[in-house]
Amino acid sequence: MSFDRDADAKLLLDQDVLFKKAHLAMEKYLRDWYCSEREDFWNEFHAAPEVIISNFSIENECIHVGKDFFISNLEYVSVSIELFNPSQAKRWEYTAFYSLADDFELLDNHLLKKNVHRRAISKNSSKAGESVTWIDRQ
Amino acid sequence: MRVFSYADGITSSAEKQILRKFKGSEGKKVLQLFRDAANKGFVAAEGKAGIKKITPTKLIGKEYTHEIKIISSQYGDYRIFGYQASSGEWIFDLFREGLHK
Repeated sequence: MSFDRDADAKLLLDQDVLFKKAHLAMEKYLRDWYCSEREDFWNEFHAAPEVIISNFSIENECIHVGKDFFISNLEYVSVSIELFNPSQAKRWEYTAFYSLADDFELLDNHLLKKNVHRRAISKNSSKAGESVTWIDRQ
Repeated sequence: MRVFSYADGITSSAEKQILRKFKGSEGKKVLQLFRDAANKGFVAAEGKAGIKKITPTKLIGKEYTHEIKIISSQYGDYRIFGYQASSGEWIFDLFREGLHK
């Protein structure tokens, strides 16, 4: 599928803004998880949200533009951020999904343990009912 | 008198889909995550476990108006989709992945 050229240009200009939005959303996600499921959170990270934010390595990873025909039928942009804890040697990826049609409203988000195999698959193929354009951040 | 919870709306069909995808105790664990999330009730679009409103489309089926979202570093991108029947009861019968990057 093709995307509107003006929208693409706007998105490229707004990458820093999107990453900043995603960072704030991730901090909220971590705090909400910590407040609602403290034991699960601790088992996962062995640290409180403030420690994660200040001590873990947090890097902007990539921005994708996609469309999910099954669920929202909206063009969306996903913003991924990688968290790395050197003491556990573990990586996680936080992804926030924003609506392209509705002023970058947050549609959904999740934080998953990073798996190299899974990443390789998602980079090379898109699933049925879904179209993805990659904009890797250099 | 039995008090019904939102988790009671997760149908045996959705349970089977989960147990087909995740074998043995892992399937039971995932199912329990969804049950716990459903019983938290309705949440906003942001990152909390619970029942979240979605925009229905023709492909997923116009009847699907809500999804159960879980918070998990392993299974956090899976959802159970559902709707409220005319009788008022909640039915969550479609298990699949949510949005992807």
